[in-house]
Amino acid sequence: MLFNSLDFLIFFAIVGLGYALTKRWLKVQNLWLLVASAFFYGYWDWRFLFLVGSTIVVVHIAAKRLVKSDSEKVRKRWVAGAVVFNLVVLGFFKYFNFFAESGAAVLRALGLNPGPVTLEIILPVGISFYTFQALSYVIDVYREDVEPTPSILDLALYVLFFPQLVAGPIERAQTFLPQILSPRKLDWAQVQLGLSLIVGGYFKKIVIADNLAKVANPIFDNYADYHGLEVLAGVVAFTIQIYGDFSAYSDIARGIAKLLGFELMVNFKLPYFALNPSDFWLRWHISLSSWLRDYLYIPLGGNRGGRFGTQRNLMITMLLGGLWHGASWNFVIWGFYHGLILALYRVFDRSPEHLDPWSGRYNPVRIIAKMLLMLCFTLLGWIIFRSRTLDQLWGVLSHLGFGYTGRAGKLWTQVGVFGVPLLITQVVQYVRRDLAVFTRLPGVVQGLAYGFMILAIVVLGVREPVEFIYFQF
Amino acid sequence: MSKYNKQLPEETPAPSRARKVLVTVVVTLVAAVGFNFLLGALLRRYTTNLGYYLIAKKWDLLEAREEPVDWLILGDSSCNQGVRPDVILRDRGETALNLCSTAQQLVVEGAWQLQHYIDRHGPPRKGVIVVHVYDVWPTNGGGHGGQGNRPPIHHGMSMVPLRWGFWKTYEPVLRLKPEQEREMAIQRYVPGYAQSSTVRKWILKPQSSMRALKGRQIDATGYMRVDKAKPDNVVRDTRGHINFVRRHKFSVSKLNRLGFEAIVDIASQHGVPVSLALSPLDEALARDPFFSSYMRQVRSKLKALCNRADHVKCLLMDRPASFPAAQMENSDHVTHPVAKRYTQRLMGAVTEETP
Repeated sequence: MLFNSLDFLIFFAIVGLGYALTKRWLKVQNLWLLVASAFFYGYWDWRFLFLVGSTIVVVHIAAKRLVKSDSEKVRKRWVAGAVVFNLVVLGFFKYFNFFAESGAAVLRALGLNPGPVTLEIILPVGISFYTFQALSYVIDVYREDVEPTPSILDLALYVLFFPQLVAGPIERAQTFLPQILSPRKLDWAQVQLGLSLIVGGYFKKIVIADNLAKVANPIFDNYADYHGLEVLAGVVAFTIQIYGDFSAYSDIARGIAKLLGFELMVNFKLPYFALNPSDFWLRWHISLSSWLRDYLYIPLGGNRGGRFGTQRNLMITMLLGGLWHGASWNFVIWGFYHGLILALYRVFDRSPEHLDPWSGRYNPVRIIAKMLLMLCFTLLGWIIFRSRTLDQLWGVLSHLGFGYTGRAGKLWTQVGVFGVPLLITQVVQYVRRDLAVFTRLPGVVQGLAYGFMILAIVVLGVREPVEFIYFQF
Repeated sequence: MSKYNKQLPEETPAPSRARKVLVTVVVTLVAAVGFNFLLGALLRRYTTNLGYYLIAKKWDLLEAREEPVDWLILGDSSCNQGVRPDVILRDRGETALNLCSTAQQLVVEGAWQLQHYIDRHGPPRKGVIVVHVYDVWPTNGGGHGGQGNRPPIHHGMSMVPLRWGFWKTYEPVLRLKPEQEREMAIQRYVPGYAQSSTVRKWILKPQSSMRALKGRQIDATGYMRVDKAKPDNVVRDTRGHINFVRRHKFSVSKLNRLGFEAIVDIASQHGVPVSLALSPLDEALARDPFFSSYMRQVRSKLKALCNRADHVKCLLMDRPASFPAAQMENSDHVTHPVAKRYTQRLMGAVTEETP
């Protein structure tokens, strides 16, 4: 069930009504949310419920055992068992064919004939997101950062909570479980922000991202027919599209959660204003980057192993982070690319200016130049991310340039029309250093803006529901 | 991490109360509805969709008309730019109102316009003239004519400013399917949704939108002046017509028959003569042997329609008014100088044959 579908609007109206009616009974309300979340997920394919159910049961049993056991050896076995189980399930459903194909390709290169190696496997929606969320729970219980929840139903709601189930943000048990276990209070400021996030999110997805997809897709798919600024328009369009698409999902998810009284973490903090690769990962898909930091980079040794160890840990983390996005070499290359620019940044530019760039200590021209340079690195990264084959990657890169054609003018007009509203909004948020800046406007002004955005969705929105890009991950 | 990083923005919502949330929600809904109707008004005036524009404009002219006229001209876009009321006034001293809109509206819309005109002003003093391209007659809308696909009639009906459900009370009564009514409701009440391509054009191609809008010169009599001839377009279009007539037999569709019968009945009730004429044509098309053969079927079927009542006459059937490609916009749409000649031929035929 897509957020941008009529089915979802009906579903959410019913869920909201039931949620309001059960507000006096926390357990009933949580059960209602759990049933709704299971329905939401099963709407794609009811068989997926067994898979996510097995994840929940395994981490629940492991967490219980972790608490009961005093032996560190036994505890390690339980946490390792739970982690391995989840990674095997994820690996099988998401990566089996990729590794089988890649292995077969190596064998073929050696002159062997491995025969058919792939299986017909359906990728369960959101498996990467809920697996990481479940893993963080069991690891946090092991680390004694979180008390295991006594009820498997509460744990199930933590994993299945429908607003963020299929595309995040990847929540932590530390912050989310307490919200499940205690009654939610209606906070009007959060409701106000929730409305803003929902309307803005739909606008970003349906008007901005989906329209720019219509610019980017033909260019990436038929790169040989495009040249110079046309290709650059496609790359910029995809850069805005992927941000608009993914951050829209997070915004809608967070907005819906707020209307239900839950707080989900902020997943994006104006990533295209980053000054360097390190700054970028503090702003882009924050719930994933912080997960990778806490459960992979730091356990690998973080920056405690000297320069080489740090660079190695960074590279491993980014490679696996790339692979998390999908079973395809372009994502691995994209992860490697980001690992590489992070490593180079750490070698050549240790300036802490991104911590407080506008303090007056740094030259503003230098700050803006670095911002633009990082944006260029990001654009290059998205070309890798969007290209499905090396031929496509090379084709897009080799056709990229500044040659002007009449068609380039039309493409850039579309990029401008759909990209500029986002740019203006973000400049205001950046200057004010406030993501919730629109909630400071009077209710009437907000209403006028939201009314305009709703009409824009109706008039300029792409009609057929387009799946969110990150659903495939 | 962000507490060390003074550049990272935070998300701290402003304090709010139930009242502010309520105001926001209410204003959002009211603004969405208000902007929608504002956009609707803009689209009615400045739509780049010529078909929608003509329908809206002609009904607006009909609504705004204060004086009765001698002649009421009904028909499609060939008539819209082919019949000049100013020529009728100059040559004969008689007033006329050109309400011709688009082929999409079939012959049916003419009946509604006639009824509405009579309700407001009484019958036109001299008569009603109906002008259509031959290929409008076989279709019930939504199909194809000689010039390709046409939208279904209920799309255009959304631009008719009569009260909702007029097609159930005005003759001929149309029986629309529920999904067609739903579609028409969306077209009528959420015009931005229905005409999103026009809005996109305004935003993405403002210059060509302006050009398209400037190119329309509809005067108070309902005549649209077109100056630019497009001979290449005529040649291409004529080829399409010839292909069409080679592959099809002529017939009069149910909706068009009902529409014309309604015009005849309404006129009959008020003692008004009706003249049915064929549109102007490209000379090359008129000379084509396949087309000539097809025209025999056209004449036979349309004359059968005309013969149903004494006060109805068929005009320009045996010798259609044809003009060189260099003076036309397409095979059945003339330019301004030729419109004068076509109007004179049409009115000459009316005078000769008016009972």
